[in-house]
Amino acid sequence: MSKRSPITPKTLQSVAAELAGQPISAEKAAAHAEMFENIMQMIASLRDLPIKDVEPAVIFRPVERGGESK
Amino acid sequence: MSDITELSIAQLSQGFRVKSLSPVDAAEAYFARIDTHNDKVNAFVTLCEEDALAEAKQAETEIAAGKWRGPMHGIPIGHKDLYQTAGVRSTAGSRVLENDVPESDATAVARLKQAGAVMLGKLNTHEFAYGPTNDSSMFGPCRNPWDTARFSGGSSGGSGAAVALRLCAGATGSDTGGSIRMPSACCGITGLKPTYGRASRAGIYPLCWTMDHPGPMTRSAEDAALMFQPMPGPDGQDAAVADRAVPDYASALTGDIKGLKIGVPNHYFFDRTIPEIATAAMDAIAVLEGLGAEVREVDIAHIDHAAAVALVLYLSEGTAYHDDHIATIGELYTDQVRLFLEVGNYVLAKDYLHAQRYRTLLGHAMADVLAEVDVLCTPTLPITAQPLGQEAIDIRGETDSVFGAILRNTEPFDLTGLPALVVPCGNASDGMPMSLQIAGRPFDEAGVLKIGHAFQQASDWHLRRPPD
Repeated sequence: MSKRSPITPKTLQSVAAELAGQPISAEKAAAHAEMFENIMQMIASLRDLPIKDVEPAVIFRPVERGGESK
Repeated sequence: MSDITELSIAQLSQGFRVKSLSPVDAAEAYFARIDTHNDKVNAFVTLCEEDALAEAKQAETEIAAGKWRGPMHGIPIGHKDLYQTAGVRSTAGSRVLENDVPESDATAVARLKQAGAVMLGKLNTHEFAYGPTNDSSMFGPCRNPWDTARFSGGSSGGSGAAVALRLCAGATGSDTGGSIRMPSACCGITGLKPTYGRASRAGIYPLCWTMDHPGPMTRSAEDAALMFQPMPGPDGQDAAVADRAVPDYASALTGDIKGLKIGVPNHYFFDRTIPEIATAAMDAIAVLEGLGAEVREVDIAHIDHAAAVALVLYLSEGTAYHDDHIATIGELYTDQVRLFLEVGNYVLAKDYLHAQRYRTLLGHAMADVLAEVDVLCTPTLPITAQPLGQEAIDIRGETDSVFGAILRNTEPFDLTGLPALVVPCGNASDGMPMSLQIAGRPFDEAGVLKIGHAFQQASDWHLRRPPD
Protein backbone atom coordinates (compact mmCIF):
# COMPACT_ATOMS: atom_id res chain seq x y z
CA MET A 1 0.00 0.00 0.00
CA SER A 2 1.32 3.43 -0.87
CA LYS A 3 2.15 5.69 2.04
CA ARG A 4 0.87 9.20 2.16
CA SER A 5 0.85 12.07 4.61
CA PRO A 6 -2.37 13.55 6.01
CA ILE A 7 -3.85 16.25 3.85
CA THR A 8 -3.27 19.81 4.95
CA PRO A 9 -5.27 22.91 4.04
CA LYS A 10 -2.12 24.41 2.57
CA THR A 11 -1.77 21.52 0.14
CA LEU A 12 -5.32 21.83 -1.07
CA GLN A 13 -5.05 25.59 -1.38
CA SER A 14 -2.03 25.06 -3.61
CA VAL A 15 -3.72 22.38 -5.70
CA ALA A 16 -6.79 24.56 -6.16
CA ALA A 17 -4.79 27.58 -7.23
CA GLU A 18 -1.82 26.04 -9.01
CA LEU A 19 -3.27 22.90 -10.60
CA ALA A 20 -7.02 23.39 -10.87
CA GLY A 21 -6.86 27.11 -11.55
CA GLN A 22 -9.64 27.76 -9.04
CA PRO A 23 -8.16 29.49 -5.97
CA ILE A 24 -9.93 29.10 -2.62
CA SER A 25 -9.74 30.89 0.69
CA ALA A 26 -7.83 29.56 3.68
CA GLU A 27 -11.11 28.94 5.51
CA LYS A 28 -12.48 26.93 2.63
CA ALA A 29 -9.23 24.99 2.32
CA ALA A 30 -9.52 24.00 5.97
CA ALA A 31 -13.06 22.71 5.43
CA HIS A 32 -12.01 20.88 2.28
CA ALA A 33 -9.05 19.28 4.04
CA GLU A 34 -11.23 17.80 6.75
CA MET A 35 -13.71 16.45 4.19
CA PHE A 36 -11.12 15.20 1.74
CA GLU A 37 -9.01 13.46 4.36
CA ASN A 38 -12.06 11.27 5.08
CA ILE A 39 -12.51 10.66 1.37
CA MET A 40 -8.85 9.77 0.92
CA GLN A 41 -9.13 7.18 3.67
CA MET A 42 -11.92 5.56 1.64
CA ILE A 43 -9.97 5.90 -1.59
CA ALA A 44 -6.87 4.32 -0.03
CA SER A 45 -8.64 0.99 0.11
CA LEU A 46 -9.06 1.03 -3.66
CA ARG A 47 -5.31 1.01 -4.12
CA ASP A 48 -5.16 -2.42 -2.51
CA LEU A 49 -7.77 -4.09 -4.69
CA PRO A 50 -6.80 -7.06 -6.91
CA ILE A 51 -7.05 -5.02 -10.10
CA LYS A 52 -3.57 -5.40 -11.56
CA ASP A 53 -4.87 -7.11 -14.70
CA VAL A 54 -8.27 -5.45 -14.77
CA GLU A 55 -9.02 -2.77 -17.35
CA PRO A 56 -11.07 0.29 -16.40
CA ALA A 57 -14.72 0.24 -17.41
CA VAL A 58 -14.12 2.99 -19.96
CA ILE A 59 -13.94 1.97 -23.60
CA PHE A 60 -12.53 4.17 -26.33
CA ARG A 61 -14.54 4.22 -29.53
CA PRO A 62 -13.10 5.68 -32.74
CA VAL A 63 -15.42 8.33 -34.09
CA GLU A 64 -17.10 7.51 -37.39
CA ARG A 65 -18.90 10.20 -39.31
CA GLY A 66 -22.54 9.39 -39.96
CA GLY A 67 -22.67 7.18 -36.91
CA GLU A 68 -23.31 8.04 -33.31
CA SER A 69 -22.20 11.60 -32.88
CA LYS A 70 -21.36 11.90 -29.17
CA MET B 1 -65.46 7.17 -11.52
CA SER B 2 -64.80 9.69 -8.78
CA ASP B 3 -61.29 10.94 -9.48
CA ILE B 4 -59.45 10.37 -12.73
CA THR B 5 -56.12 11.21 -11.07
CA GLU B 6 -56.41 8.02 -9.02
CA LEU B 7 -56.24 5.84 -12.12
CA SER B 8 -53.06 4.10 -13.20
CA ILE B 9 -51.48 4.62 -16.59
CA ALA B 10 -52.85 1.23 -17.60
CA GLN B 11 -56.38 2.18 -16.55
CA LEU B 12 -56.20 5.61 -18.18
CA SER B 13 -54.86 4.12 -21.38
CA GLN B 14 -57.65 1.56 -21.57
CA GLY B 15 -60.24 4.25 -20.88
CA PHE B 16 -58.82 6.57 -23.53
CA ARG B 17 -58.70 3.79 -26.08
CA VAL B 18 -62.34 2.79 -25.64
CA LYS B 19 -63.29 6.47 -25.27
CA SER B 20 -64.83 6.07 -21.84
CA LEU B 21 -62.25 8.57 -20.57
CA SER B 22 -60.96 11.77 -22.09
CA PRO B 23 -57.28 12.83 -22.23
CA VAL B 24 -58.45 16.44 -21.94
CA ASP B 25 -60.45 15.66 -18.79
CA ALA B 26 -57.42 13.86 -17.36
CA ALA B 27 -55.04 16.75 -18.07
CA GLU B 28 -57.48 19.26 -16.62
CA ALA B 29 -57.98 17.13 -13.52
CA TYR B 30 -54.24 16.91 -12.95
CA PHE B 31 -53.79 20.67 -13.34
CA ALA B 32 -56.59 21.22 -10.84
CA ARG B 33 -54.84 18.91 -8.41
CA ILE B 34 -51.47 20.56 -9.02
CA ASP B 35 -53.14 23.89 -8.27
CA THR B 36 -54.35 22.73 -4.87
CA HIS B 37 -51.56 20.34 -3.82
CA ASN B 38 -48.24 21.25 -5.42
CA ASP B 39 -47.36 23.87 -2.82
CA LYS B 40 -47.40 21.15 -0.20
CA VAL B 41 -44.39 19.41 -1.75
CA ASN B 42 -42.85 21.80 -4.32
CA ALA B 43 -42.67 19.08 -6.97
CA PHE B 44 -43.62 20.90 -10.19
CA VAL B 45 -41.37 23.90 -10.86
CA THR B 46 -42.63 24.79 -14.35
CA LEU B 47 -46.11 24.16 -15.73
CA CYS B 48 -47.02 23.84 -19.42
CA GLU B 49 -50.80 24.08 -19.11
CA GLU B 50 -51.61 25.61 -22.48
CA ASP B 51 -49.39 23.24 -24.47
CA ALA B 52 -50.45 20.25 -22.41
CA LEU B 53 -54.14 20.85 -22.98
CA ALA B 54 -53.43 21.24 -26.70
CA GLU B 55 -51.52 17.95 -26.68
CA ALA B 56 -54.35 16.28 -24.78
CA LYS B 57 -56.87 17.60 -27.29
CA GLN B 58 -54.73 16.31 -30.14
CA ALA B 59 -54.53 12.90 -28.48
CA GLU B 60 -58.28 12.80 -28.05
CA THR B 61 -58.83 13.73 -31.68
CA GLU B 62 -56.33 11.16 -32.94
CA ILE B 63 -57.74 8.36 -30.81
CA ALA B 64 -61.27 9.23 -31.93
CA ALA B 65 -60.03 8.99 -35.52
CA GLY B 66 -58.61 5.54 -34.90
CA LYS B 67 -55.01 6.73 -34.75
CA TRP B 68 -54.11 5.32 -31.34
CA ARG B 69 -50.35 5.53 -30.89
CA GLY B 70 -50.03 3.10 -27.99
CA PRO B 71 -50.46 2.90 -24.22
CA MET B 72 -48.86 6.30 -23.49
CA HIS B 73 -51.17 8.16 -25.86
CA GLY B 74 -52.83 10.96 -23.88
CA ILE B 75 -51.12 10.03 -20.57
CA PRO B 76 -50.27 13.11 -18.42
CA ILE B 77 -46.67 12.98 -17.24
CA GLY B 78 -43.96 15.25 -15.87
CA HIS B 79 -40.28 15.43 -16.75
CA LYS B 80 -37.43 15.88 -14.32
CA ASP B 81 -36.00 19.35 -14.88
CA LEU B 82 -32.66 17.71 -15.69
CA TYR B 83 -34.21 16.69 -19.01
CA GLN B 84 -34.00 19.28 -21.77
CA THR B 85 -37.35 20.24 -23.23
CA ALA B 86 -37.65 22.27 -26.43
CA GLY B 87 -39.05 25.73 -25.75
CA VAL B 88 -39.55 25.01 -22.05
CA ARG B 89 -37.15 26.24 -19.37
CA SER B 90 -34.84 23.46 -18.23
CA THR B 91 -32.81 24.45 -15.18
CA ALA B 92 -31.43 21.24 -13.65
CA GLY B 93 -32.51 22.92 -10.41
CA SER B 94 -29.65 25.38 -10.71
CA ARG B 95 -29.30 29.13 -10.99
CA VAL B 96 -26.55 28.35 -13.49
CA LEU B 97 -29.35 27.48 -15.94
CA GLU B 98 -32.04 29.68 -14.42
CA ASN B 99 -33.25 31.07 -17.74
CA ASP B 100 -32.09 28.31 -20.08
CA VAL B 101 -34.60 27.31 -22.75
CA PRO B 102 -33.30 24.45 -24.90
CA GLU B 103 -34.01 24.28 -28.61
CA SER B 104 -34.54 20.54 -28.68
CA ASP B 105 -35.92 17.75 -26.55
CA ALA B 106 -33.91 15.10 -24.77
CA THR B 107 -34.30 11.80 -26.59
CA ALA B 108 -36.50 10.39 -23.83
CA VAL B 109 -38.75 13.46 -23.95
CA ALA B 110 -39.00 13.27 -27.73
CA ARG B 111 -39.83 9.56 -27.68
CA LEU B 112 -42.49 9.91 -25.02
CA LYS B 113 -43.92 12.84 -26.96
CA GLN B 114 -43.94 10.71 -30.11
CA ALA B 115 -45.74 8.01 -28.13
CA GLY B 116 -48.43 10.59 -27.39
CA ALA B 117 -47.66 11.41 -23.75
CA VAL B 118 -48.84 14.81 -22.54
CA MET B 119 -46.18 16.88 -20.72
CA LEU B 120 -47.77 18.69 -17.78
CA GLY B 121 -44.54 20.40 -16.79
CA LYS B 122 -41.10 20.08 -15.25
CA LEU B 123 -40.22 18.59 -11.89
CA ASN B 124 -37.89 19.62 -9.11
CA THR B 125 -34.47 18.00 -8.88
CA HIS B 126 -31.47 18.16 -6.62
CA GLU B 127 -29.18 20.66 -8.34
CA PHE B 128 -27.63 18.95 -11.38
CA ALA B 129 -28.71 15.64 -9.81
CA TYR B 130 -25.77 15.95 -7.40
CA GLY B 131 -27.37 14.73 -4.19
CA PRO B 132 -29.78 12.14 -2.81
CA THR B 133 -32.24 14.34 -0.92
CA ASN B 134 -33.49 17.09 -3.29
CA ASP B 135 -32.96 19.66 -0.56
CA SER B 136 -30.50 21.66 -2.70
CA SER B 137 -32.35 23.26 -5.59
CA MET B 138 -32.83 26.79 -6.86
CA PHE B 139 -36.55 26.21 -6.30
CA GLY B 140 -36.11 25.16 -2.68
CA PRO B 141 -36.41 21.67 -1.28
CA CYS B 142 -38.87 19.13 -2.57
CA ARG B 143 -40.85 17.74 0.34
CA ASN B 144 -42.08 14.25 1.04
CA PRO B 145 -45.86 13.93 0.56
CA TRP B 146 -46.07 11.43 3.44
CA ASP B 147 -44.55 13.98 5.85
CA THR B 148 -43.63 17.38 4.50
CA ALA B 149 -41.00 17.91 7.19
CA ARG B 150 -38.98 15.16 5.51
CA PHE B 151 -37.06 14.99 2.27
CA SER B 152 -38.52 13.46 -0.85
CA GLY B 153 -35.33 11.67 -1.73
CA GLY B 154 -33.37 12.69 -4.75
CA SER B 155 -32.19 13.59 -7.05
CA SER B 156 -35.48 12.98 -8.89
CA GLY B 157 -37.43 14.21 -5.88
CA GLY B 158 -40.04 16.17 -7.78
CA SER B 159 -40.83 13.09 -9.83
CA GLY B 160 -41.22 10.93 -6.72
CA ALA B 161 -43.39 13.41 -4.85
CA ALA B 162 -45.56 14.24 -7.87
CA VAL B 163 -46.32 10.63 -8.75
CA ALA B 164 -47.04 9.71 -5.12
CA LEU B 165 -49.32 12.72 -4.59
CA ARG B 166 -51.24 12.13 -7.84
CA LEU B 167 -49.97 15.27 -9.54
CA CYS B 168 -49.13 13.25 -12.66
CA ALA B 169 -49.60 9.67 -13.80
CA GLY B 170 -45.90 9.06 -14.31
CA ALA B 171 -42.62 10.94 -14.47
CA THR B 172 -39.14 10.64 -15.82
CA GLY B 173 -36.15 10.39 -13.55
CA SER B 174 -32.45 9.79 -13.87
CA ASP B 175 -30.29 7.56 -11.72
CA THR B 176 -26.54 7.90 -11.13
CA GLY B 177 -26.21 6.64 -7.56
CA GLY B 178 -29.87 5.83 -7.00
CA SER B 179 -31.69 8.97 -8.09
CA ILE B 180 -34.70 7.13 -9.52
CA ARG B 181 -34.84 4.48 -6.82
CA MET B 182 -34.19 6.65 -3.74
CA PRO B 183 -37.10 9.09 -4.25
CA SER B 184 -39.29 6.22 -5.40
CA ALA B 185 -38.56 4.43 -2.14
CA CYS B 186 -38.92 7.56 -0.02
CA CYS B 187 -42.26 8.47 -1.60
CA GLY B 188 -43.74 4.97 -1.85
CA ILE B 189 -43.82 4.52 -5.61
CA THR B 190 -42.28 2.23 -8.23
CA GLY B 191 -39.12 3.19 -10.11
CA LEU B 192 -37.12 1.49 -12.84
CA LYS B 193 -33.44 2.11 -13.41
CA PRO B 194 -32.78 0.30 -16.66
CA THR B 195 -29.51 -1.21 -17.79
CA TYR B 196 -26.77 1.30 -18.58
CA GLY B 197 -26.91 1.74 -22.35
CA ARG B 198 -30.54 0.69 -22.72
CA ALA B 199 -31.95 4.22 -23.03
CA SER B 200 -30.26 7.32 -24.36
CA ARG B 201 -28.85 9.98 -22.06
CA ALA B 202 -28.86 12.55 -24.85
CA GLY B 203 -30.33 15.85 -23.76
CA ILE B 204 -30.14 15.06 -20.05
CA TYR B 205 -27.63 17.16 -18.14
CA PRO B 206 -24.92 14.74 -16.96
CA LEU B 207 -23.72 14.06 -13.46
CA CYS B 208 -21.45 11.13 -14.38
CA TRP B 209 -21.32 10.15 -18.02
CA THR B 210 -20.40 6.57 -17.12
CA MET B 211 -23.20 6.06 -14.60
CA ASP B 212 -26.23 8.13 -15.68
CA HIS B 213 -29.38 6.13 -16.42
CA PRO B 214 -32.75 7.61 -17.51
CA GLY B 215 -35.93 5.76 -16.56
CA PRO B 216 -39.59 5.95 -15.49
CA MET B 217 -41.15 6.55 -12.07
CA THR B 218 -44.73 5.36 -11.70
CA ARG B 219 -47.24 3.90 -9.28
CA SER B 220 -46.75 0.28 -10.35
CA ALA B 221 -44.48 -2.07 -12.24
CA GLU B 222 -47.16 -2.37 -14.92
CA ASP B 223 -47.13 1.40 -15.41
CA ALA B 224 -43.31 1.41 -15.45
CA ALA B 225 -43.39 -1.17 -18.25
CA LEU B 226 -45.81 0.94 -20.29
CA MET B 227 -43.94 4.20 -19.73
CA PHE B 228 -40.50 2.71 -20.38
CA GLN B 229 -41.53 0.99 -23.62
CA PRO B 230 -40.87 3.97 -25.94
CA MET B 231 -37.59 4.97 -24.27
CA PRO B 232 -34.93 2.36 -25.22
CA GLY B 233 -32.81 1.99 -28.31
CA PRO B 234 -30.16 3.88 -30.28
CA ASP B 235 -30.78 7.49 -31.22
CA GLY B 236 -27.53 8.35 -32.97
CA GLN B 237 -26.64 10.72 -30.15
CA ASP B 238 -25.57 8.53 -27.24
CA ALA B 239 -22.73 6.18 -28.14
CA ALA B 240 -23.38 4.10 -25.01
CA VAL B 241 -26.79 2.93 -26.18
CA ALA B 242 -26.83 -0.72 -27.21
CA ASP B 243 -28.43 -1.75 -30.46
CA ARG B 244 -30.33 -4.66 -28.98
CA ALA B 245 -33.85 -5.92 -29.47
CA VAL B 246 -36.38 -4.23 -27.19
CA PRO B 247 -38.99 -6.67 -25.87
CA ASP B 248 -42.64 -5.90 -25.25
CA TYR B 249 -42.34 -5.21 -21.54
CA ALA B 250 -46.05 -5.43 -20.78
CA SER B 251 -46.24 -8.93 -22.21
CA ALA B 252 -43.63 -10.04 -19.66
CA LEU B 253 -46.07 -9.26 -16.83
CA THR B 254 -47.57 -12.72 -16.63
CA GLY B 255 -47.64 -12.96 -12.86
CA ASP B 256 -45.99 -16.36 -13.13
CA ILE B 257 -42.64 -16.42 -11.33
CA LYS B 258 -42.62 -20.12 -10.45
CA GLY B 259 -39.09 -21.49 -10.48
CA LEU B 260 -37.37 -18.12 -10.79
CA LYS B 261 -34.31 -17.95 -8.58
CA ILE B 262 -33.95 -15.02 -6.21
CA GLY B 263 -30.60 -14.30 -4.63
CA VAL B 264 -30.46 -12.57 -1.26
CA PRO B 265 -27.01 -11.11 -0.55
CA ASN B 266 -25.58 -12.42 2.72
CA HIS B 267 -23.76 -9.19 3.56
CA TYR B 268 -23.57 -5.47 2.82
CA PHE B 269 -27.20 -4.73 1.84
CA PHE B 270 -28.78 -5.81 5.13
CA ASP B 271 -25.86 -5.16 7.50
CA ARG B 272 -26.40 -1.46 7.99
CA THR B 273 -30.14 -1.36 7.27
CA ILE B 274 -32.50 -0.48 10.10
CA PRO B 275 -34.13 -3.68 11.37
CA GLU B 276 -37.72 -2.94 10.40
CA ILE B 277 -36.72 -2.26 6.78
CA ALA B 278 -34.66 -5.47 6.68
CA THR B 279 -37.69 -7.33 8.03
CA ALA B 280 -40.04 -5.72 5.51
CA ALA B 281 -37.71 -6.67 2.65
CA MET B 282 -37.50 -10.27 3.86
CA ASP B 283 -41.29 -10.36 4.23
CA ALA B 284 -41.61 -9.19 0.62
CA ILE B 285 -39.14 -11.85 -0.51
CA ALA B 286 -41.25 -14.40 1.37
CA VAL B 287 -44.25 -13.26 -0.68
CA LEU B 288 -42.27 -13.95 -3.85
CA GLU B 289 -41.28 -17.33 -2.46
CA GLY B 290 -44.92 -18.02 -1.80
CA LEU B 291 -45.59 -17.34 -5.48
CA GLY B 292 -43.19 -20.11 -6.44
CA ALA B 293 -39.81 -18.39 -6.62
CA GLU B 294 -36.78 -20.13 -5.17
CA VAL B 295 -34.81 -18.07 -2.67
CA ARG B 296 -31.16 -18.62 -1.88
CA GLU B 297 -28.38 -16.75 -0.13
CA VAL B 298 -25.60 -15.35 -2.31
CA ASP B 299 -22.22 -13.77 -1.67
CA ILE B 300 -21.11 -10.82 -3.82
CA ALA B 301 -17.34 -10.40 -3.81
CA HIS B 302 -15.77 -6.94 -3.42
CA ILE B 303 -19.12 -5.25 -2.76
CA ASP B 304 -17.83 -3.41 0.32
CA HIS B 305 -15.87 -0.91 -1.80
CA ALA B 306 -18.91 0.29 -3.76
CA ALA B 307 -19.48 3.53 -1.88
CA ALA B 308 -15.86 4.68 -2.12
CA VAL B 309 -15.78 3.93 -5.82
CA ALA B 310 -19.03 5.72 -6.55
CA LEU B 311 -17.81 8.76 -4.63
CA VAL B 312 -14.60 8.93 -6.68
CA LEU B 313 -16.64 8.78 -9.88
CA TYR B 314 -19.08 11.52 -8.82
CA LEU B 315 -16.24 13.76 -7.71
CA SER B 316 -14.15 13.24 -10.85
CA GLU B 317 -16.77 13.30 -13.58
CA GLY B 318 -18.98 15.90 -11.91
CA THR B 319 -16.12 18.32 -11.45
CA ALA B 320 -14.90 17.76 -15.01
CA TYR B 321 -18.34 18.57 -16.45
CA HIS B 322 -18.76 21.72 -14.35
CA ASP B 323 -15.12 22.87 -14.56
CA ASP B 324 -15.82 25.98 -16.63
CA HIS B 325 -18.74 27.15 -14.53
CA ILE B 326 -17.04 26.55 -11.17
CA ALA B 327 -14.29 28.89 -12.23
CA THR B 328 -16.49 31.62 -13.65
CA ILE B 329 -19.90 31.51 -11.97
CA GLY B 330 -19.27 29.23 -9.01
CA GLU B 331 -21.30 31.48 -6.73
CA LEU B 332 -24.48 30.45 -8.56
CA TYR B 333 -24.31 26.88 -7.30
CA THR B 334 -25.89 25.87 -3.99
CA ASP B 335 -23.34 25.56 -1.19
CA GLN B 336 -23.60 21.76 -0.99
CA VAL B 337 -23.14 21.12 -4.70
CA ARG B 338 -20.38 23.70 -5.02
CA LEU B 339 -18.51 22.00 -2.17
CA PHE B 340 -18.62 18.64 -3.98
CA LEU B 341 -17.52 20.26 -7.24
CA GLU B 342 -14.58 21.98 -5.58
CA VAL B 343 -13.47 18.88 -3.70
CA GLY B 344 -13.46 16.97 -6.99
CA ASN B 345 -10.39 18.98 -7.96
CA TYR B 346 -8.27 16.93 -5.58
CA VAL B 347 -8.97 13.42 -6.89
CA LEU B 348 -5.99 11.91 -8.66
CA ALA B 349 -6.40 10.45 -12.13
CA LYS B 350 -5.00 7.13 -10.94
CA ASP B 351 -7.71 6.87 -8.30
CA TYR B 352 -10.39 7.63 -10.87
CA LEU B 353 -9.03 4.79 -12.99
CA HIS B 354 -8.77 2.48 -9.98
CA ALA B 355 -12.46 3.19 -9.46
CA GLN B 356 -13.26 2.35 -13.07
CA ARG B 357 -11.20 -0.84 -12.79
CA TYR B 358 -13.16 -1.78 -9.67
CA ARG B 359 -16.35 -1.53 -11.71
CA THR B 360 -15.04 -4.26 -13.99
CA LEU B 361 -14.16 -6.35 -10.95
CA LEU B 362 -17.60 -5.87 -9.38
CA GLY B 363 -19.27 -6.49 -12.72
CA HIS B 364 -17.64 -9.92 -12.88
CA ALA B 365 -18.61 -10.64 -9.28
CA MET B 366 -22.23 -9.74 -10.03
CA ALA B 367 -22.16 -11.82 -13.23
CA ASP B 368 -20.90 -14.81 -11.25
CA VAL B 369 -23.83 -14.49 -8.87
CA LEU B 370 -26.37 -13.83 -11.63
CA ALA B 371 -25.25 -16.99 -13.36
CA GLU B 372 -26.72 -18.85 -10.39
CA VAL B 373 -29.84 -16.75 -9.73
CA ASP B 374 -32.17 -14.72 -11.93
CA VAL B 375 -32.36 -11.63 -9.74
CA LEU B 376 -31.07 -10.15 -6.52
CA CYS B 377 -33.46 -8.76 -3.92
CA THR B 378 -32.40 -6.24 -1.29
CA PRO B 379 -33.86 -3.40 0.73
CA THR B 380 -33.83 -0.33 -1.54
CA LEU B 381 -32.79 2.01 1.25
CA PRO B 382 -31.32 1.24 4.67
CA ILE B 383 -33.35 4.08 6.21
CA THR B 384 -36.63 5.86 5.65
CA ALA B 385 -36.90 9.48 4.46
CA GLN B 386 -35.47 11.68 7.20
CA PRO B 387 -36.26 15.25 8.28
CA LEU B 388 -34.92 17.90 5.92
CA GLY B 389 -31.50 19.07 7.03
CA GLN B 390 -30.70 16.03 9.15
CA GLU B 391 -27.11 15.01 8.44
CA ALA B 392 -26.51 11.94 10.62
CA ILE B 393 -28.49 8.88 11.64
CA ASP B 394 -28.02 5.98 14.00
CA ILE B 395 -28.21 2.59 12.31
CA ARG B 396 -27.83 -0.49 14.50
CA GLY B 397 -25.90 1.47 17.09
CA GLU B 398 -23.51 3.17 14.69
CA THR B 399 -23.68 6.70 13.40
CA ASP B 400 -23.75 7.10 9.63
CA SER B 401 -24.19 10.13 7.40
CA VAL B 402 -27.66 10.37 5.87
CA PHE B 403 -26.12 10.89 2.41
CA GLY B 404 -23.92 7.82 2.77
CA ALA B 405 -26.66 5.63 4.16
CA ILE B 406 -29.29 6.50 1.61
CA LEU B 407 -26.95 5.79 -1.31
CA ARG B 408 -25.50 2.58 0.04
CA ASN B 409 -27.83 -0.06 -1.44
CA THR B 410 -28.53 1.56 -4.79
CA GLU B 411 -25.01 2.51 -5.89
CA PRO B 412 -23.80 -1.05 -6.63
CA PHE B 413 -26.28 -1.33 -9.50
CA ASP B 414 -25.19 1.99 -11.02
CA LEU B 415 -21.59 0.88 -10.82
CA THR B 416 -22.45 -2.36 -12.59
CA GLY B 417 -25.12 -0.88 -14.86
CA LEU B 418 -27.58 -3.65 -13.99
CA PRO B 419 -31.33 -3.04 -14.26
CA ALA B 420 -33.07 -2.51 -10.93
CA LEU B 421 -36.72 -2.01 -10.06
CA VAL B 422 -37.93 -0.77 -6.70
CA VAL B 423 -41.40 -1.39 -5.31
CA PRO B 424 -43.07 -0.30 -2.07
CA CYS B 425 -43.18 -3.07 0.54
CA GLY B 426 -44.53 -1.46 3.68
CA ASN B 427 -44.68 1.57 5.92
CA ALA B 428 -42.30 1.89 8.84
CA SER B 429 -43.16 2.86 12.40
CA ASP B 430 -42.46 6.50 11.49
CA GLY B 431 -45.16 6.22 8.82
CA MET B 432 -42.73 6.45 5.92
CA PRO B 433 -42.66 4.01 2.99
CA MET B 434 -40.22 1.11 2.81
CA SER B 435 -39.12 -0.47 -0.44
CA LEU B 436 -37.77 -3.65 -2.03
CA GLN B 437 -35.10 -3.52 -4.74
CA ILE B 438 -35.06 -6.18 -7.49
CA ALA B 439 -31.92 -6.20 -9.66
CA GLY B 440 -31.44 -8.38 -12.71
CA ARG B 441 -29.07 -9.38 -15.48
CA PRO B 442 -27.96 -6.84 -18.07
CA PHE B 443 -30.82 -5.82 -20.37
CA ASP B 444 -33.33 -7.95 -18.48
CA GLU B 445 -35.65 -5.10 -17.55
CA ALA B 446 -38.49 -7.46 -18.44
CA GLY B 447 -37.33 -9.87 -15.75
CA VAL B 448 -37.32 -7.35 -12.91
CA LEU B 449 -40.63 -5.85 -14.08
CA LYS B 450 -42.16 -9.33 -14.13
CA ILE B 451 -41.17 -10.01 -10.53
CA GLY B 452 -42.22 -6.53 -9.37
CA HIS B 453 -45.58 -6.96 -11.04
CA ALA B 454 -46.08 -10.40 -9.49
CA PHE B 455 -45.35 -8.90 -6.07
CA GLN B 456 -47.84 -6.11 -6.67
CA GLN B 457 -50.49 -8.63 -7.72
CA ALA B 458 -50.03 -10.28 -4.34
CA SER B 459 -49.79 -7.14 -2.19
CA ASP B 460 -51.32 -3.69 -2.03
CA TRP B 461 -48.47 -1.48 -0.82
CA HIS B 462 -48.27 0.21 -4.22
CA LEU B 463 -51.93 1.22 -3.96
CA ARG B 464 -51.41 3.10 -0.71
CA ARG B 465 -51.02 6.81 -1.02
CA PRO B 466 -49.96 9.72 1.13
CA PRO B 467 -52.65 11.73 2.92
CA ASP B 468 -54.11 14.71 1.06
